[in-house]
Amino acid sequence: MFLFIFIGMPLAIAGILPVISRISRKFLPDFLANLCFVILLAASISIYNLWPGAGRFSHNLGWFGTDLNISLVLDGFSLLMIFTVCIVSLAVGLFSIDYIERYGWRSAYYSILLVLVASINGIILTSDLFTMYVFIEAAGLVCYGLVAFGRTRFAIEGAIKYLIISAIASVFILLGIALIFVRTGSTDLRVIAAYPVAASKVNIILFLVGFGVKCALVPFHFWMPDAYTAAPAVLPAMSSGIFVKAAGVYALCRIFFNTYGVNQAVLSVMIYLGIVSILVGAFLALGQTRLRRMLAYSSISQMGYIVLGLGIGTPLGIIGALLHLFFHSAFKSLLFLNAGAVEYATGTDESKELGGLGGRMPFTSTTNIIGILSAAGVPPLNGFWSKLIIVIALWQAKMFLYAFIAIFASVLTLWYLLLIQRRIFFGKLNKLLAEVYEVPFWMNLSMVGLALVCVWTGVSFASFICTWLLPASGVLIDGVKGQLFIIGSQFL
Amino acid sequence: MTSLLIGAVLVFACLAVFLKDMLKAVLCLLISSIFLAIIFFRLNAPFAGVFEISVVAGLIMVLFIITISIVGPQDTVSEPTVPIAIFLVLFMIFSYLVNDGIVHLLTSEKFLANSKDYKRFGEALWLGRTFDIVGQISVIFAGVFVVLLVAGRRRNGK
Repeated sequence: MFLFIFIGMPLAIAGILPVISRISRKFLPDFLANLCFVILLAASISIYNLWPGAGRFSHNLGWFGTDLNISLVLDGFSLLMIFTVCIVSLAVGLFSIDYIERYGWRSAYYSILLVLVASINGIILTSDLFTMYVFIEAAGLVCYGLVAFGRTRFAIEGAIKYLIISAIASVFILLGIALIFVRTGSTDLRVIAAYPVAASKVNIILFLVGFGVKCALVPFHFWMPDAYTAAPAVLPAMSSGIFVKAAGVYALCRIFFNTYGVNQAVLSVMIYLGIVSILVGAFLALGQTRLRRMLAYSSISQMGYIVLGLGIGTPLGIIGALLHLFFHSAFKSLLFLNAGAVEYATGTDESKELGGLGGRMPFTSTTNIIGILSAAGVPPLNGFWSKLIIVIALWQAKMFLYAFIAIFASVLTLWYLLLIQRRIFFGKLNKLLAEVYEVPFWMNLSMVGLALVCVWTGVSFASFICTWLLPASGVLIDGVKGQLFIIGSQFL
Repeated sequence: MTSLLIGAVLVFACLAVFLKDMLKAVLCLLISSIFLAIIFFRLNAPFAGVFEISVVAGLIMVLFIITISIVGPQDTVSEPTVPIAIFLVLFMIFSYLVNDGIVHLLTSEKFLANSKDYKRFGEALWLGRTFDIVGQISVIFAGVFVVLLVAGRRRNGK
């Protein structure tokens, strides 16, 4: 039951919020939604404290002694993902208190944010491929709505592009699931793992393309910049921070590492996709003047690092990839929230129309620098350690060219992000921006909180690896074996 | 019986294409998919039936209804006649093929699925795919909230 609150609680609150909002339009939706995010974060930390450190636990939900056939599975990897989701969703929830004022209907907004969190948690905790697909669709549906929430021509265009490309990806995934079901007679990942025949070439291609679109890897990345530019800033923070990772990287890892078992051909494809994404994302980001568009291309590049790390296939590469997955969630959500704050204060995120905001918006400027330096991999912030581990893993695997490209793209990242920092926050204040002031308290609190996460995880990265990362990477290193053996469900 | 059901699927699928009123067209598609699900159940493939109903009735219908609510009843779409004529010809060929080949194929014992675990829709859904219902609730919630949000903003004239 304890584990089910990650899905059930946000869904239940999402259902009652529109009713409760008739009593209080502002306070209760803000309070209940954020209380839910705080409880989920506390629950994820307390589960970690109860966690024996390794193993895979299955929990069948019952109702007065009757088995409900809802089976939730938790291991080190899903625990790390749940923790990431809880941190980012709390930051976005706090940011929304002031930010969503301009977009109107608060209770419905929080409801769809809660449905998004419940769906992402559903993707992470299920052990069934079709249920995972249903939750991916549910989360995707919320994202299309949030993109179109901007109601400008570009927002609708972005939403339609996202919808169409994502629907094509869903067809690929569904076809893959159907083929597996035909071969094995089940969609349960544990059953599929016992059938080596399930991993046919067609299936591998279908899943690589389907989840590649969800991850926005090059050449399946077209939806991301348009979708992220026009939507409210909380959507890219949630989507780039956690949805893309849960529906893309997490699902990909569960299928290729834990169900099919690693295969050199798949790993090579992952390396190529990763390298191309890193380079193309970085070069395309270089030419952008709109802050959010640049961050969207930067996300494509950073997702490339994660897939590259996984593609190396060595324990060190997997640790680097998962570390970058968590760190990227923190710093990219921070950067997107910063972009939202700039837009909230000035009405635009076009860097040509901005300048000298540092003096007017000290919190936003400082947290943005922390985010940028983390993204570019400057020590001692968190992005440095994850990229360093990925580069060392590439070096160990004798992939010297790829290691060089990873370092080169990191320098490019620093270049384009510092360029935009200088244009927006440094220099002389644009005369049109004389009336601009720092954003309200809750937005600042959320950005400062995420910036502290970036600094804290960077400074204490070694203990973070030992506590959260090793159990998570252990699950992927164990491969199919990790999927098959369930230890028990006592502590849940 | 299977032939009749397939006929019903085709008729309602055609109505979904030809009806001008988009809401009625979506409802026809929904009825068509329910008939398809019944065919799956009759052919001993309860999970395929449950998937058909949950995906089409749950996921795709919500998407269509959102789109209709965004576009609104006043935005009529004029359709060219040539594609409709081409569709009619293709449909007649397809109907012939279905009647001639696929019905025999589907109803012969050799090709029947052999899932004996769940016979009825309720059993397959409640005992076999309970967790999907939670996902479906997420989908329905998401769809309803998105419709309310977008429709609310539309009324405000923003």
